[in-house]
Amino acid sequence: MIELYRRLFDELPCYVTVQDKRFRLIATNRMFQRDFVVGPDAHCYEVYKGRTEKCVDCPVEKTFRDGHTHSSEEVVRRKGGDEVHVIVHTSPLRKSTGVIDGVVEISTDITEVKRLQQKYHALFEEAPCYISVQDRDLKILEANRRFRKDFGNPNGGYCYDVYKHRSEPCLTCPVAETFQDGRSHQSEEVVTSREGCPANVLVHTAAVRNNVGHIDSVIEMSTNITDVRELQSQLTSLGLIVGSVSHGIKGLLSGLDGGIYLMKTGFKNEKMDRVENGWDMIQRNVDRIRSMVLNILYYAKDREVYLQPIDVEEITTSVGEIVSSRAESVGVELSVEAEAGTFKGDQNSVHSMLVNLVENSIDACRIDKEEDDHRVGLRARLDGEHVVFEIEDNGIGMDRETKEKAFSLFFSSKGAEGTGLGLFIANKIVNNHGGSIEIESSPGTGTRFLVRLPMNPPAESPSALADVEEVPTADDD
Amino acid sequence: MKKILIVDDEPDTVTFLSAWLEDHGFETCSASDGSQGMHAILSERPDLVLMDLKMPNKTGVQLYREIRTSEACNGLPVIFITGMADLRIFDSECQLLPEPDGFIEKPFDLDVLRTAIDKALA
Repeated sequence: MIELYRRLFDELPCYVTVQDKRFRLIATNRMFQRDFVVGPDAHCYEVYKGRTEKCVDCPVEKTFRDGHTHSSEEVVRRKGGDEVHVIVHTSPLRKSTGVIDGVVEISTDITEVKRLQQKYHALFEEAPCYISVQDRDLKILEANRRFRKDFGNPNGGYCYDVYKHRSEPCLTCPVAETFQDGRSHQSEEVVTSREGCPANVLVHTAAVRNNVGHIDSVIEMSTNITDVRELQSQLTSLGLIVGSVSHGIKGLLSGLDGGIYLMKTGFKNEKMDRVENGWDMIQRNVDRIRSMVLNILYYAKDREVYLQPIDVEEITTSVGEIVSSRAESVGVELSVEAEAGTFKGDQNSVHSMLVNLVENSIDACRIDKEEDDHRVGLRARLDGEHVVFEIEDNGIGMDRETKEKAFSLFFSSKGAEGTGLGLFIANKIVNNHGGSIEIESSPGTGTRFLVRLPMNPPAESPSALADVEEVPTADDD
Repeated sequence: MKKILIVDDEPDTVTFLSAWLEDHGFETCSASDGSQGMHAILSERPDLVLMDLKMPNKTGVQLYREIRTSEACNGLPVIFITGMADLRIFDSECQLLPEPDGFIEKPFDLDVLRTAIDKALA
């Protein structure tokens, strides 16, 4: 019988040792002797790891202490010098009195499992897309390197917050759908990186099941298709712009028809107030047609631009005059202030940019039904090497999602008329002057656009202005 | 005198339509979006609604669905005046609801509009 046990001990396909309280190897099996050099009175830590003292966290020591089995994962070095990952289990050997006089330690080689684990982990980490693993509450349990790089370490954050800065789940969520039916789902989303850059992503999901088939988590893989969408947008933009512009023109033509009708019937019936109303209406719509045409020109390539000295007071006042009738017609009080000074820029484009932003603010007031007393302010000041334009309103305001997408393609938060060129073009003009544009806004309180333009734009700016390559939103102004 | 409610977020269109309708013997009232439009229907009790499709707060499609499903608005004629040539959004969102009394495309022909109004009020 003892011989049988001895044979079994020797033939076990793992490393088996019996150790005393000082971690000396009392007995070892054949596989252990094959792979490790065992001298007289050799200690476990010397043979396995080449150490001179016991390991800090030793399962054999724990078993001696509490009499229970313990396990750990270790890296040991074989006599050839190669490292082997082992999973260690220990168990007490007791005398008939119950006293533990030895501990048996069985170490199984899991190097291949480890290798595969590392390989798949590397695949997960280095995949050229965003990968996250989420639980039923859409909490991100794990995320790969690219995800962490662009969206930060999720630290148990929620998918909708990390990806979209939302406070609640998206209306349709492919992860939730996969939890519900176990199938893979697909969707296209616009997400925002931690730097605030929007990106179009194509999302695929798959269920991760446990050994009884229950869905524990869902893996979500998002491929960044922003470049593809931008290319596609350029191809489809012409059609969109034609549609959008013709929609805008239809409204303007109605306005002109209205003006003509009022003037005609006013003259006929000798009602001069009606004539004046009609004239104002025609003037307003002609201004809007002018602004629309300028926007279309900025969208078009190869437009010639000229850098020239611009008088800050003059351009600000001129913008104020152009938008004042529109502000008045929708009951918005417009205030204009400007410091004296000059800067270099493209007169027409800066003018158009300011008109677009102020008109956007007037629209934000027009559609706000919460407030009766609406105000829009246009202020210009000099700040060191920059001229700063502030366009402030107390209109409807924007939530974080709207703010982040305000200059994005095909994004609209308003149902009003318009060509959809305004904010897109304004942003391009500012960028092409080497300036910056910021939005401060919150729902219900209003919006402030802060435009900073350098007094002397970089030399390459004029050519950049002539090469507007992106396409405008469908209706963002 | 028949009363016509104009619902449009474009003030020039409202001014134009109000003047023209009043010149042709109608009483008018107006609202600048879909939400105000519903309030005006209930308070002004118009005989006909002329409205835009694309408006903030509540679109023309949403307002139309509310009108057609509200008992208080039973039989109220509605004519859309819109710059949108593509009416697929209307078709997809207003399935199973009765057709409106007309679609007039901007810029509108006043004779065509008059015919549609007379037909709707007949």
